[in-house]
Amino acid sequence: MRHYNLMSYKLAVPLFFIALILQTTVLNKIAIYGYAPNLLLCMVVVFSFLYQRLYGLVLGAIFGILLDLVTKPIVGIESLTFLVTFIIASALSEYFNHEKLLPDLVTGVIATVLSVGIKYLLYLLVGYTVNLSVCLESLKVLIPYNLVVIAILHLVFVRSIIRFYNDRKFQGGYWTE
Amino acid sequence: MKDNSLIKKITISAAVLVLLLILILSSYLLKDQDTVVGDVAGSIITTVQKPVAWAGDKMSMFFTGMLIDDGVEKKLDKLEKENERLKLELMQDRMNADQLEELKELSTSLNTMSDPSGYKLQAADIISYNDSDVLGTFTIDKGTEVGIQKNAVVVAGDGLVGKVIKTEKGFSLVSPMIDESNKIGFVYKDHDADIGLLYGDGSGALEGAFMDNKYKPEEGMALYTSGIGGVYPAGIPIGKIKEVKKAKETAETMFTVAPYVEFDGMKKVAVILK
Repeated sequence: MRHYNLMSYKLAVPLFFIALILQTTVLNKIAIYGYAPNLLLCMVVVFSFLYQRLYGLVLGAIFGILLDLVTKPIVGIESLTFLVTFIIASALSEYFNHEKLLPDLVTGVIATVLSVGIKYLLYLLVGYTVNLSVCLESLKVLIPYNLVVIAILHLVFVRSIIRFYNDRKFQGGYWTE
Repeated sequence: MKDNSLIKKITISAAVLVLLLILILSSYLLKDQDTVVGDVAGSIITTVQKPVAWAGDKMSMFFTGMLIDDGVEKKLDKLEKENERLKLELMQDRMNADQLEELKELSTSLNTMSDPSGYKLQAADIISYNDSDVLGTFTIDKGTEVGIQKNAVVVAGDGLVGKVIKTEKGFSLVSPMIDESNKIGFVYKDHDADIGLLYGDGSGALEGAFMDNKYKPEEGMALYTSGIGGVYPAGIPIGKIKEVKKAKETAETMFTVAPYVEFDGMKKVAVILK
């Protein structure tokens, strides 16, 4: 079996790196009520759904650690939320057509809630005080904001897998023959 | 084929999960230590972040500046910088005066003379706001290379900003004072006995109460750091009392404080080096 991959690590790694830099520098300029979208989380959702490879898992773990290094007191927290996101997206992609937007959005909602929940619990475990009601309040902004970003990313990247939508040999973002 | 792919995903996910849990645990255990990996990765990322953050600021200024005349904008920018510098100088003088007073008291009791030169301020640029995280931290472009240490206090021209919770070569992570993990001892201006404790209420303001209930907080009272607790030096402006209220359970008189510092859009801060 030969694979003609339309999304390779050579392309995905720079894309994730750009997302990391944008998330930590520019996205705060468009923050609503002090909350900016989690671009890397959205990338993990979209990549885990659209491409049947392990982009979401591998790149999510690596770039999550890099994000943690410069933005968090403890390293590994964001990667853990990305891993959980990948697992949910992979599980849902078994049952839903991965070219559709709706499963991405459903995953986006679950991933955002779990992301805030996991961070809340881990921060409490390592001794930080985080107000649960503030975390719940943040979801009111983060969920719709992340969904908008996921929808935009989906519309951009879905082109790479539906260009040959009717071809039975084209599956999950790469050609098989 | 599909089963194999699923098993592969589950196996790799489980392996990554174990590795991440080990990483989180070791990161927690080594949180006070400077690591080579943190230094190198942090340096690379912050090197890329600086020009991107600068470009982002310029773009933001460009769009807002479209409404303002170019010459006026430059003058405003220059005046803002000058204003910030003067405010920092004033704050340093105030802190030095408090420190000098404390040292005088100490020297009297210990019969020794100490160096009252006060604190040194290290200017730093904010290169990243972590607005997608529940802790609401931000990153500055100076780290261990200029002598910044964990728990170093961060100020701006208007007053207290927060403290450093992590520092590596090339960058430091700052927790703003409005974060709920921060507890700040305060005094009411010119009333050194009126001490109390403030903490973030999670919504961008601070909450607190006087230690002694006989002191009555009033709206508009200016609060300063007390120096008690050993983290924040005495004399840094914190904010003004915005609202006074009674706690439901204890009937204690509580109040909310509006910080002097505007956290939104802040670009420069100064770190107090000991």
